[in-house]
Formats: sequence, structure tokens, C-alpha cells
Amino acid sequence: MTSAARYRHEVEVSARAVLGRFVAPPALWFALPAFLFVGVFFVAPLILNVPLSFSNWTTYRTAIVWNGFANFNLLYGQGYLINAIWVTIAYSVIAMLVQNVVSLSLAYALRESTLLNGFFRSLFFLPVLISPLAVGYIWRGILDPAGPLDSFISNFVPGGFHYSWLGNTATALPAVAFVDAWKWIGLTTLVYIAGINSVPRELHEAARIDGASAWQTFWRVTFPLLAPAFTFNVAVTLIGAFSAYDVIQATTGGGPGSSTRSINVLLRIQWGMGNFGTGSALGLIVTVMVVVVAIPLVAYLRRREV
Amino acid sequence: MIVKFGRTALMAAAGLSMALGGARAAGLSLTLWHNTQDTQGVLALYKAYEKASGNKLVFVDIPADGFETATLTRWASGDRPDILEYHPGAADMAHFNPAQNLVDLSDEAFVKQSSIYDIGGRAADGKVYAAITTFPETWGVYYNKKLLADHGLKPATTFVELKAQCGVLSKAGVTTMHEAGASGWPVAVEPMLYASTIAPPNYVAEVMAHKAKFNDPDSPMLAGLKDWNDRKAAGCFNKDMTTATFEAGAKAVYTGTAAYQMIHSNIAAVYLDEAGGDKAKLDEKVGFVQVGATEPKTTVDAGPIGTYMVPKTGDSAKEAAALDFIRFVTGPGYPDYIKNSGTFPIVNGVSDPDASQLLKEIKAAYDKGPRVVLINQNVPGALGNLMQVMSELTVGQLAPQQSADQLQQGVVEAAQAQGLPGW
Repeated sequence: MTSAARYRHEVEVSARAVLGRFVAPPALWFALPAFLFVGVFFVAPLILNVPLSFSNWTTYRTAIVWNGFANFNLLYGQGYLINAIWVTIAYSVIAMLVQNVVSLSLAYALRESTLLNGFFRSLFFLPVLISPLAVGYIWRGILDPAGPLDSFISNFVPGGFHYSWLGNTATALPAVAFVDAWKWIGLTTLVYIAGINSVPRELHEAARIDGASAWQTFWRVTFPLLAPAFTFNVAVTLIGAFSAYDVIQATTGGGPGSSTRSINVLLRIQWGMGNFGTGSALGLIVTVMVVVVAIPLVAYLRRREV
Repeated sequence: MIVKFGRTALMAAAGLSMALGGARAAGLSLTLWHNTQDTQGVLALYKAYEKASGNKLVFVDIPADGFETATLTRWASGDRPDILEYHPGAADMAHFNPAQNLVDLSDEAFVKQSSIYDIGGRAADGKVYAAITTFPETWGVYYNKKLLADHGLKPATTFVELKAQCGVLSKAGVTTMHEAGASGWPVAVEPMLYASTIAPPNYVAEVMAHKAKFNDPDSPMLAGLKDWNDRKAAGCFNKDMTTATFEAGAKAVYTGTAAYQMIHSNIAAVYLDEAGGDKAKLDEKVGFVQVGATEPKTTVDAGPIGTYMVPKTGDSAKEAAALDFIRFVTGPGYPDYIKNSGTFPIVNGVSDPDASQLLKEIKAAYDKGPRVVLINQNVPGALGNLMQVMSELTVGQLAPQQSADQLQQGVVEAAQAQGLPGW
């Protein structure tokens, strides 16, 4: 190497050493579009929603003015808020339980990569691709007293069976939560299948050699090692159900009475009356609920991960 | 050649603008927020305007389901149309702060040519901000003629008669009144109809002056809620009322599985669909009468379809063109609109169309009166929480008095949100 070339080389190395402190690693550049997307469409609206929750923003006034906790006091005073919180929690818990129990069972049954299993995995995934509103409308028809479900049950019940699943306060909430769970089961099933198939086969063989039954193998070997998938699915299904709106709106509209009037349905009602400040306050309440539930839940579930 | 063509085009445009009564310019694009339930007659009116004016209407479709929420959300974001189609009740227009944001139409010629502006189109300040072209929503009961005749009953014209007939029809296993809990608003309107027809003429003014409340023991609204609840307890309603829609109600009355449906005149189109478009078949099966709490009355309100406002956008050319649109639809374009739509005119001097017997019965109910305006039209918030309240009353989560308390609370909250003095 000539002295000039050596000098150029040394300058380049020094420049890279200096610039290297300011240049992000390649991984960050690849993640930047995702960060921007989440920042613009999720984080920014969330942050902007906070001051609006404490404002008198309505359609009646042009000026948006800080009004402290007036919106929260108003919502509490109306008598709808506490019921909406309980409905949201109950809906989320039911949807989460149904979704995880059913999808874990399906995942275990479809864990082998065969042609038939591949067909059924695709079939169960189809509802995930359908719009939640469309799902709600379809199930509204299925659960109608004159719908196919009651018609099927009528074959086994003398005198026929005409029960309004969505029209009775006792069954409306579980029915709508089931519909929500049904829509997303395909996705959680795939996550469980991936988790089950990541458990080393040697462990199953060892358990079998040691005389463990199928149930014991599943409960003592597979299930503990499924913890990461379990954490993901439980957290995502529970938190996702907190934000549920479209399935409820399409099936019951929040009725009968207030039995399925979740926080987001109440938010829409407030929005429809032009009360955007109280609507924003309800959105903030959902956010706080998600944070209060999600962080301890994920922390607890992560502790059981092997 | 090009200059000559341009001069000719300019003169043509000027002539056209004079024909429209002073349009400032042609070739403009005007944004129109419209309800997707606009009838064929209204859609034809839009085309007629475009042809006559040389302007283009750019439609922003607002679905009928959630129409109010979608419109208010767009408005709150700062978006403004050149022409806005919306409800013309004072309580509804209050959302737009009309004195600040809408063009005052009070001095327009069409206002003096119609009595509709005694029903709607005026804001709380008394000025006209909405131009109405469609016959007012006339509330009453559609009934199945054969079903009533088979039981020796005449069409009920009071809530008292409805309750009495319920006793006869329920014994025969017939649904007296079809309720559409899933649709929500038809159920909500029933106690409002009752209240509208027994309230003293100045009742809403008394409420606004804090001399009366909706939850007073002698409140007409409480009386309406109690009456509805009593009829529910007496088994007058369909068993699937919490999940039934108003379209199913029209079908039930048409086919004779329910005797009555209490709803407004625009639903006649749904009945006509049930009859497969056969007016004679429809007239043979279904009739319409007015209904009042204790004596026959006709409750009316002006609806959003074919009702237009001109927002102040700051673009004077487009505001002028929007105003000319309003003059066209209430003026030169109006007679053809009536002929195409089959609806009755509200502008003086325009002939009635050839209508079905059912529509004639609706018109007769309107003409016969006495007419009262739906009670919520000038109440802050327009009793917007009534749908939720009725849903809870339906399943027994609320009693009538509690329901009335909720309604009064809603009025107070809406009045406070508007910053009305004394609230």
C-alpha cells in the first residue's frame, strides 16, 4: 500500500469510528417504518387523547377548554360507567377463556403437519380474515329465534326451540363474547401449534418411556413449555377484547338494556350525541384498564415461563 | 375562433346564471354530504340541478345507519361541505352552532311559500337555516286491515283504544303492536308520541324556563313511559321485541302476524317493497291512521332526507352556488321532484302526485290534524339518550320514573354543554 493509500485508509477508519457513534445499527433502520407506523397511528392519537379527555369538547362549541375531571364526574353521575366497566371486563374474560381453551384443544389436535391438518388449520383461520362487523351480522342471523341454531336444536326438543340468545339479558353477553372468541380462535390456534411444535420431541418420548399417560405428558411436559405462547395468547386476547366494539354493535348494539353496553359502545353513544370530551374520557378509561391489567398479567405469566 | 368561442361560453354561462336567479359561476364542484337513504326522487333532483347549473355535485356518502354520529364526527374534525343534508330540528341544528356556521335562509322566497317552517328548519334563535323539500315525517299507526276486521275492530286512533284492543287481540294470540327493539328509534318514539299529543302547547318552553321537568309526576313524558310499560306488561308487544327490526315490523303487519306498527310515513316505502311494488296489493292489506294519547292527533317532524343547509366555508363563490342549489331544489326543480318521488309537496302551488291509497291516508292524517310537533325537536340534546333508556325499560332494568329521571338528566347535560344561560 502506498503512503497516500495508507493515509486514506487511516482517515476512513477514523471517520467510521467517529461516525459509528452516531449511526444506528442496521436493525434499527429496518424497524424504523414499523416504529413510525405505530407512532403515528397509535401512540400519537393516544397521547393527543389525554388532554381531550379533560376538555369540554362538544359539537356545540368551537373552543376546546380544559374542564378538569368534569367529564369523569358526568359519566359516573349518569350511572352508565360502572356497568360499562363490568360488562367490558366480563366480556373480555369470557372471550379470553373460550378462545384459549378451544384454540389450545384445536392446536393439540392439529399439531402434526399433515395434509388433512393443514386443511383444517386453514378452515379455522378463515373467520380471522372476515371483518368483525360481518361476523357480527352473520351470527346475529344464526342466533335469531328463527335462525339455524334454534332450528337445529328444535330437532331434539319437542314443540320446537325458539330462544332469543341475543335478546335475553342472561345470555346476550356470553353469546356475543363467544362470537368474538370464534372470530379469533384461528389465530391463537396457530400460535399454540407453533408453541407445541417447539417442544423437543425427546421430552415427550422420555415421558412416555417413564410411563406417563397422554394427559400427564401434556400437563407436565407440554403445557409448562407452552408458557411463552400461553402468555402471548392470554394477554393479547384479553387486551384485544377490552377494545371490542364492532362485534357487539353488529349483534346487539349494546342491548338488550345495558347487558352488552361495553365502554366502547358507551363511547359511541356519547360520540353520537356530540359529546366528544366525554367520549375521549371513555377512551382514556379503556387505555388505563388495559395498562392496569396488562402489565401485572404479563409479568405474572412471564414468571412461569421455563 | 377560440376568443369567439370563449366569449360565447361566457355569455351562455351568464345567461344560465340569470336563469338560476343569480348563480355567480358555473363549472364549480360543490361537496354535498348526503344520507345514503336519499330516495330516487332526491337523487334525480341532484342530477337535474347539475344539468341546469353546469355545476358538479361531489357526494360524500354518509350511511343511514349511524348517520348522525358520522356527520357530527366529520363536522367536529373541521371538515365542511358546501351543502349539508341533515335533520332540521332546532335541537339537531344546535350541534352546528348555526348562527356562527350556517347561512341564514330566513329571507329566501321559499320560506314564505311553505308552512313547513312552523315544524322545522328554524334554530333556537328563530331564524331559518335549513331548506326542506320533503313532506314531513307523519307519525301514526300502520295496521293490517283484515286482522282488525276479523276481530271486529276499527283502526285505533288513541293509545287508550290500542290498549283496549290489545286485550281482545292478545286473547286471540295476535301481536297487537310490533316493537323494533333492535332498531331502537321506533321504540323510543312511542312515549314521545304519547307525550307530544298530551303536552300543553308551551310545555317545552316551560321546561327551558325551569318551570317544568321531564321527570315531574305530572310530566307528559312520564305518562308516555308509563303507558308504554303498561302495554308491555299487558303482553301487547311481539315476543322477539328486543331483537326485531322495523323492517320485520312492516313485514309482520303486511302479512298479518301483527296488527299495528307505530312509525312514521317514510316507512310506507318499506311496505311497498313488502308488496313487491304493487300499490293495489298494499292498499288492500295495509292502512294508516293518526294516533294520539287520549284523542286523535297527528305528530309530525321534518326529516333529514331532502333537507339542506349551507355551511359558511369562506369561499364566497361556492357559498353563492350552494345557495342557488337551495333555490333550485325549492323552486324550478321542485315540481319535477314531486312527480318523480311520488311524495306530497310542501311548497304552495305544486300539485299532488298520483299516490297510492296508503300515501293518501297519510296525507289525510296530516291534513286532518290537529298537528303537533314531536316533543324532542326543540329540547336540548333532542332526548338523545331515550333509545338507551327505552332499551333498559324494555328489559325491566329501569322503571318509568327512573327512565324519566335519566331523560331529564340528559336535557340538563345537553343544555350545559351548549352553555345555555340558567343551566
